Amino acid sequence: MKNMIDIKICQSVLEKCLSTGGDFAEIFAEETTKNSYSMVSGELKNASTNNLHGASIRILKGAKEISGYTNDFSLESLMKLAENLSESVEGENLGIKFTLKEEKPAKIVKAVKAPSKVSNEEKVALLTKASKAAKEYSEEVVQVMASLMDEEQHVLVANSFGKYIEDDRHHLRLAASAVAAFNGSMQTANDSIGGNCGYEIFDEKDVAAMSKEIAKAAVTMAHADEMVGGVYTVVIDNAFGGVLLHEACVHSLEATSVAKGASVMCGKLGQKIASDIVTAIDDGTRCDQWGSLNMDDEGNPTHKNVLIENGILKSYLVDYRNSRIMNHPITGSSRRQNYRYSPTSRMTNTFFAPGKDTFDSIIANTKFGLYAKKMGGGSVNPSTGEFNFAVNEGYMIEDGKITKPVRGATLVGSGSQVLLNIDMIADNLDFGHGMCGSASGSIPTDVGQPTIRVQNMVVGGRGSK
Amino acid sequence: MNVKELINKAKLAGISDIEVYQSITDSTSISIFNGEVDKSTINSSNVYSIRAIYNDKMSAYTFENQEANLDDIIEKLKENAKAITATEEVEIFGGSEKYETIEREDGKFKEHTIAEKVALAKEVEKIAKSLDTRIVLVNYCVYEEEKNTVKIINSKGLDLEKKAEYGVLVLGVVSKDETPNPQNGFEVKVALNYDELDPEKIAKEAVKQAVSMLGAAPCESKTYPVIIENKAMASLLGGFDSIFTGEALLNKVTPLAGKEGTKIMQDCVTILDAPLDKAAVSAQPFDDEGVACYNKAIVENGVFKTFMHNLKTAKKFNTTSTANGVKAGDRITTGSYNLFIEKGEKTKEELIASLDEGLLIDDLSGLHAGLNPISCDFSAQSSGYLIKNGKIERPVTLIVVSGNFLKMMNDIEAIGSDLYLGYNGTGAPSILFKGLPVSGK
Repeated sequence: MKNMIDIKICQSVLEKCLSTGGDFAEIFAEETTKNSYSMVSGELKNASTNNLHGASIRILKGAKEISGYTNDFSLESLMKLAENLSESVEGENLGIKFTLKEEKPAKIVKAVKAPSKVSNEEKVALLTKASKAAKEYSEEVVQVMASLMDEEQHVLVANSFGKYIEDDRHHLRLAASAVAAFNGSMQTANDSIGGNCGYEIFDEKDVAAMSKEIAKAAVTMAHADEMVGGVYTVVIDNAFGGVLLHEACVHSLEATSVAKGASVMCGKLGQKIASDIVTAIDDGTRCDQWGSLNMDDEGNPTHKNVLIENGILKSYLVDYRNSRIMNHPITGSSRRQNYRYSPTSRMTNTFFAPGKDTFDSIIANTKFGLYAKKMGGGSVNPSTGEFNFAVNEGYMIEDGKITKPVRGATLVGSGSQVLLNIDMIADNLDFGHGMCGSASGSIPTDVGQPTIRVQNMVVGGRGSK
Repeated sequence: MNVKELINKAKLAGISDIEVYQSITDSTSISIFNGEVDKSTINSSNVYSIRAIYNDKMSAYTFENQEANLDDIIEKLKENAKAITATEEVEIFGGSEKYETIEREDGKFKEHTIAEKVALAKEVEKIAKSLDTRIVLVNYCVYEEEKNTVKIINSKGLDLEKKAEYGVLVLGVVSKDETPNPQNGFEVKVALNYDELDPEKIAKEAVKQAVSMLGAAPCESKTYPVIIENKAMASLLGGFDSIFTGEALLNKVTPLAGKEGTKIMQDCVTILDAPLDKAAVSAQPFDDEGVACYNKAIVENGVFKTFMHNLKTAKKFNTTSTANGVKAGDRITTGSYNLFIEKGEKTKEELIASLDEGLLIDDLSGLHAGLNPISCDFSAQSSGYLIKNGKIERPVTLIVVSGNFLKMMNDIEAIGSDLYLGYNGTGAPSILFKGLPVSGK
């Protein structure tokens, strides 16, 4: 789809927005088709399609923001919204002149097999494959649920800098969860394959192998002992383990909380916030990855942002509005779930850079600790930096060897401490796919890391010594 | 969009039944920072969610474009229905015999100007800053109001409408003193009437929380008697309410399968689903499938009475819908509109006074990640207060409270009288549990 809202209509609407003293105006419009499929016990239970069609208008005056949305793209409706919004701006027309000019974003992500070109039969076959592989792994697997979501989002950003730019995004993700039962205990494990790409991803990534892994993890956890709470050395494995960085640190680097002085990371640029071996990056430009974008939701190119370099805080994640408050350059990080949310600084693909150790050397060098093989989700309070997350698959480490499985472990800590306590980083960087919920809604983000070791973490659990 | 035209076209295209669920929403929000309006929004939306039965399979299509092509929508509904392999009996509802109305007075939101609402939000921020010098930041201060109309019209002649209107004040504050870590206070008030939004009460609550947590530190790892305060208890119930649902029964992911009529909790526990209780913000006259809501016990004196069913899960288990059909995205699942644990007799103060040593937990964070609704196990980052000799001794944070929801509901010492009805559909009083493992230092 091209020129979702005519360039001339956008010009008039933006001019209307600035008529009462606003110094920046923006239109964000989208037409999104999302298909969802869910399978339980090998049977397809739901197939649905959701079509979003909305336009959001935003006016800034300094750091003050006025915004609103409508489902009606007509000139009349958009002008009415612009007028209503501009009434909340107090002042005189600043006489800002601009002419919208069409631009094209760089092509970092693309879809070879776009969702609309793939039949329902092919999609259901993928879910069947995922369900079957998990179910066949063991008789103790009592339930397998698999879901597939694909989304084609066409977005338009037009603003009073003269920008008029459109882009296509293709998010898709197949997620599966297996439930295993043993001796009255039911445990689940889950994983997903996803990207900002087309169905070609399944030519490279093996759905059945992923399903088999989660079935194995669920069975192992059903047989596991309960974790005994206490303070431990924790080895967090690669890929989804990166949720530690995401929760414990980078949420506190988002302008959403930094601009208000509400983050523990305020005023720490150039200071040491992590151990010397830590380098952390947020990179929205990684080819076809789940959190990647050709442009952010303000129409700016995404960047590779080095946030922490050798332990020193180098950058925050900043959107245009907050850049005005913070006097910090924008980082191509402005994101929103859809037109209903006002955009703000968010993560894309966030990860620890590889280190010099190896997985084997980390385990061998750990006398006693917890090996968190698969992490679950978590959350953080940016003003205190306190975070938590679940360990979905855990094992004890005793005398440099991985021993018995343990379940129900939860890691808690404060972001400022945990980064200083990382003492080993391996070379095996990998990624996991999540949905991150924050001020501007739920967005696809990748978390990633090589295997790391953290000293002195509080681990919760129901077991007793 | 012409609903009648869509229904007629669908019928001609071989769709046996079709339902149009329309949701029209107007909302306004005002965010205050440092005495000024920081952000404001004026939004309106009009969303159609269509469900259709084709060849005995139900599929769904949701759209917002008023000029969407009806033939394309019908084609997509048929295509999605063809993909479904599950052989469940599905239904578009013909209507209940009688519908209750939820009588409510006008919320008076229209009587007040935007300027008054801005002033109200500014007032909350101002009071919060003035109450205690240790409040260093008001990081969140928002007034919001929303008006929503839902219409359900279907090919079986059902034509229902419900309206809801409410206002919200949200306040987040940060406190700091000579102790190393800043602390948070957070309060949300959702009101059906503008006059119920009391800036002083909201400010006091958030400030009290933030200030009393200053100096918080972990406590020793061991098993403590634990009082889970009403709001935290409501969120814990919200985390586990899926175990009572027909959808979980259908998907074999509830430990309560086959346990209807048996004792699953202590005698003192009664859990009600009361969607007609007009005091609850989430009260509804009918569910999202158009089935008339009614009040009922889910657990009565410890005995599990019924699963919460929608039309599909009820059919599967040879029973009738309990009006617990809840729209989740494009599809209808099962859930509650106002589920709460009935209150007991002791005040929270009496519960605290009854403990030689224990914990009062008022915040369970990270429940979305640390909770397993299938096994009922949870481990949650928590904060609250250490109780010694019947008195609050000091604030605690960065601890993990673990438990098993069903086991702990059989290990209750006392239930408090301070029932809190949450705005998102679950409620609870404070409850004192005999012992829960706590990991700290």
